[in-house]
Amino acid sequence: MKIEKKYAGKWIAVKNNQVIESGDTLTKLTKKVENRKDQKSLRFTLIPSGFIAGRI
Amino acid sequence: MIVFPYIEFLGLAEERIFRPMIPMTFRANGKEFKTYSLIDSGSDYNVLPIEIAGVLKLKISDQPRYSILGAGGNSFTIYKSPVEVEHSLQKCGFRDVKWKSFVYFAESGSTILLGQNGFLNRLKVVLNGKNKKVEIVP
Repeated sequence: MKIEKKYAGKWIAVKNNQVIESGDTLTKLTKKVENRKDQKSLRFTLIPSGFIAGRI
Repeated sequence: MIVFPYIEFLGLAEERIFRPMIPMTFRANGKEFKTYSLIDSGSDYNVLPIEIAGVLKLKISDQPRYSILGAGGNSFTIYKSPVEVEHSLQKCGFRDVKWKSFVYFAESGSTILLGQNGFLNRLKVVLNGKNKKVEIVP
């Protein structure tokens, strides 16, 4: 799976290894996809805003 | 052995960045959250963004809060989950690998981290960076 730079710092929804939607917050993102029939098959994650070096 | 490819991040640098992120599902209170999580051997615990506590209907306002330090010395506030959360590692063609563990919810906007307690102490995990694959033996 490839994640483009434009998703840095955003929540994304993924299906079949493709980003299908994004949002600034998880709440906004889930609102965007709430009417999709395939909602149960989506995975969500928060993309780091940049490089990671020893986060928490 | 279950194998997952690293996830590729484009455009952060001249070189492509590959990170060991794997599909995980967290469950509690009859709710579930399907996600991709970053394996982070430098993290003591599994750390999730605080929004996920709401999805899982976990009340954390009464939970003890801790300040935890990143490697750079920056400080985060985290809350321990009030109950153990079910972790499920899934891959087509393989039986789900499940276990329960406490997790910590971070206010900092951290990505989802799988650390030592609750993940790496449960499985044999090989980060095969040369081949950009995560190899897991339950």
